[in-house]
Amino acid sequence: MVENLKVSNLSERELVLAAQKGDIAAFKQLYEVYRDSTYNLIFHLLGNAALSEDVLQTVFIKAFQALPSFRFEAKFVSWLYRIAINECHTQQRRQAAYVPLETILGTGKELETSTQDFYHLQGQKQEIIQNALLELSPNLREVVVLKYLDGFSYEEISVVLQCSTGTVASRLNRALTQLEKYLQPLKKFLLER
Amino acid sequence: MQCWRIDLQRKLPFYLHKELSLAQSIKLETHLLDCNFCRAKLAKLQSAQALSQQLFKVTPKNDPWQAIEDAIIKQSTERLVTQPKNYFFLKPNFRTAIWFIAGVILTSFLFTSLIFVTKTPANNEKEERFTDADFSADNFRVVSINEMPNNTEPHIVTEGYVSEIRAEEDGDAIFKLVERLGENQNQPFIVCEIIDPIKVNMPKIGSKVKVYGVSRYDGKSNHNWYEVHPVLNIELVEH
Repeated sequence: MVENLKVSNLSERELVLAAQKGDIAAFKQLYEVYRDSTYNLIFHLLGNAALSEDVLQTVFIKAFQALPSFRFEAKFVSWLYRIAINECHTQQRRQAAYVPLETILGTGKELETSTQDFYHLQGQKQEIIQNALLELSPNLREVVVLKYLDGFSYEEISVVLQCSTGTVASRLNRALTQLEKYLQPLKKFLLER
Repeated sequence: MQCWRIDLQRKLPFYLHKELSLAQSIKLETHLLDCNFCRAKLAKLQSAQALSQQLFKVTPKNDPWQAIEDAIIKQSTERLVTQPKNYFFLKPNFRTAIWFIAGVILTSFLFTSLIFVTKTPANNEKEERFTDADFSADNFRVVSINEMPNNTEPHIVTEGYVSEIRAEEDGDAIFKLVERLGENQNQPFIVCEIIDPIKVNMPKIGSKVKVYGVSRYDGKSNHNWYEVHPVLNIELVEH
């Protein structure tokens, strides 16, 4: 308990340094800080909750293994997201040759969600936006998620994706243009509160 | 109408996301005042941005930390079992140096051994036995048995008759050297001690010998006599 309190008072740099030496408690602190944002990134890139949880687990295991090679040249979160995006690419390649049974037979939960109108409406909106996002190519999806979910600057996105800020702007331009095209018919419904 | 200011169109996402400098923003805004095409494009981007901002945040239903921790611990344990520790002496450079030093030592040892093997056994024996060929009598001062109390030289050669021989419990052998045989027991004598590993043949009782060795006085309470200890060589004078 004392150890945990001690760890919680450390800065991110100190936590990373401790985790690099094998301190699992310090790594857990980092995990708790970045778990949700990393999960969001993975979920919006893959569009599958169960798979995203598995990937989240793999990402943090790989991050711990690769931690000794982290040299503080970028923010820890940028480095972590890089691992997450690479892992998503791996999953996307695997998924390319695999059609889940649920997409053919349905999950059986379709009726359950329709019982509560408000949540159903919210769920529908989310589903529409998520589906539109999944229509984008993976590299366009990545910039949208990093920009609008994480609020990253162009510079930060360029570090995570290892490309120029010009490329980031170009991808965002294409992504937004395509999203606008997909969502145009539902814009009124989607934007009303 | 199509706008051909591609350079400014490329700035639209930067402008949308407030990534332009003030000067660049002013320049673009001035262009937007006159360009319907770019204004329409910006409006589309703003509309898509409003939709993108509705991206919802999700949280994992199950916290996978336990599985992560288990995997980390398992991998760390496996690494400890399967990989040797990173001791400095296991590093490749150090290992190479160790092999090099071991090689040099081994070569030196073999070379030295070879030199020793090529030496004749007789030479080895000379070193140990102080035999005639190797023995230089010039290094020893001639001292008679009577003169022993006045002698100050460590290396002496003395002459006399062997009157008595005795084997010590520790394996050494001693003999008594006197001026003349058959005289009374109170005549001067020297005790000569042959010790291992100096291999000297014990003379027979009654023989007259020259004894080379180190002179010393044995002051033990029941001794109090002069000795040649150790005996380095014996020359037979008379049987």
